[in-house]
Parts: sequence; structure tokens; C-alpha cells
Amino acid sequence: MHELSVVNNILKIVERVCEENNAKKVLKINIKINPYSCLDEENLNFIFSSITKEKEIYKDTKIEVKRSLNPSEREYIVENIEIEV
Amino acid sequence: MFKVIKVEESIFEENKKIAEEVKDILEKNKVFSFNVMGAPGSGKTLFIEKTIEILKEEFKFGVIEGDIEGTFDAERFKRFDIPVVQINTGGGCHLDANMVKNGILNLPLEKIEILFIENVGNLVCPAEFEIGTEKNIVVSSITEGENKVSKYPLMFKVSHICILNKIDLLPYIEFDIEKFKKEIKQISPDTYFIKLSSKTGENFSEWIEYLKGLKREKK
Repeated sequence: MHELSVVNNILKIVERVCEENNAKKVLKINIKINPYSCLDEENLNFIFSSITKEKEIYKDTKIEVKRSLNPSEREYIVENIEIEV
Repeated sequence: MFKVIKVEESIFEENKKIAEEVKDILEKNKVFSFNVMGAPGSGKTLFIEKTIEILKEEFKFGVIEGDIEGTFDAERFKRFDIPVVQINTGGGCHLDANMVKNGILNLPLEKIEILFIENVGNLVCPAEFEIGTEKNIVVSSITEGENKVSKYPLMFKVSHICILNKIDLLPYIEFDIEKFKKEIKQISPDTYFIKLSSKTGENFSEWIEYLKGLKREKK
């Protein structure tokens, strides 16, 4: 269930980035997490699209989760965001 | 036009900031704090109760109880006449730093030396959220099965101490303690392992001595 908190926090970051860059569309959000985390990509995408379904800018957004040893134990990092401007 | 915007920002940035605040507040008040995590029914509450029962003359305790609903666990501490705060997450599967901050602000911290924060029973989500405690404890019981470490690695990785509870049931349950210990060593070499029974008190003194040692180090 913590996917909901995660999605809300992702959205805060993404909204800010979109505003700064005048994004018309968000295509992809690339996330890096440590290999021990229980975070499900499919579930994350499902929650993301449920929360943002009213918003045109997120219509084609996909979240991609990459597992890497670099982030410290409890860290999820938004690596980059692919947008259309 | 298509653009890739580099962000490199932690999703838990806000939670981390508040966790630092919690840590500062607790340190300023000289409160030694534990985040007690584990599956529902692993025996977190009884473990805390037993610890307080044994050490209540020696240390001043405080408890924060995190549950989805109800005050059932908080009621159990009433008999000790210590400050207890119940946090209801209202459906949330873990405590986050902000809830804990509100919790500690409702406690007389100057009257507390050791604070136990019992997280929501869950082996997944609480492991992801720092709440600003000094030490993390995972209470695992032999009735849960011996494969918990490989199934929930992050929980064991973030825990400084692993309590293997309910060892009084060993005659009835197949559980390879050495295998369990080995798996913890592999994933988290620094996690301190103690097996005990909160119910019968078997080997509980090892934990009590360890806790006293931690407290001495802190001084």
C-alpha cells in the first residue's frame, strides 16, 4: 500500500519539473530504487494513472522502475523525466 | 519537442527531512528511541511490555503505538503508568516521520529516557520510511516461518537488531534458527541477532543486557 505515498511524492516532483519546463506531456518517469525494496512497477503505474486520469498531461505517462545498488537502503530516486514541450 | 529532464531527487526527501527533525528533538531531550517493526502477531507489543516490566525501576519509558485502527495496544501499557500516545494511521500501512513527529510532540519528552515506537504490523512498508529513531528493531517469530529474511530483505537490512521471538514453541514448529541467522548475516552483517521468548522469558535477559549496553554507550 505504500505505493500510494510513493506516487503522491513522485507527483509532487513531476508537477514542479513540468512547471519549470513548460511541459505539454509527460511521457516517462524513470525511477531508481535499491534491489531490496518491495515496490511493484505495475501497481505503481496503476495507482499513478488512477490518480491522474483527469489530467491530459499524464495521459501517456509510464513509470519505469530500475533496480540499482547505488541508492541507499531506503531511497527511491526520480532519475529523470521524459517530457514533450 | 522531446526533452529529458535530469532530476536525481529522492522521492522520500520530505519524509527524510522530518525524520531528521524528529531525531534532533529526541536527541535534544536525551531520549533513546527504537522503531519496533514486524509482522502482525509477531509479538511486538508483548516484547515491549516485557522489557518495560523488567526495567521500569531503572529507566523512564514512553511508548508510541502505531495502528491502523483502535487503541487496543495502547491500553496494554496503562498498567505501567507511563506516557503513551496512540497514532491511528487510518488505513495507512506504516508510520511516516510526520505522524511520529506529531506523536512525540504529545509526549512529555523530558520525562522519558527510552522510547519505543511500535510501527504498524507489516514487513514491507515500514521498512521504507525513516521515522527518526536511533535504532530499528524487527521482531520476527518462529511461527512466521524461516524464509522471512529472503522474502522481506529490506526489513532485515534496515534493522539494527533482529529479535527472533516465540522460541518456546520450538518443540512444535519446524524452524532452522541457524539458517535464519545465516540469511540475516548475508543480507545485513551488522544486524544484532537475539532469540528469545517474550512469553516465557526464555533468554530475554540477553536482550535486557544488550539494551543496557546500548544505553550506557549512549551516555
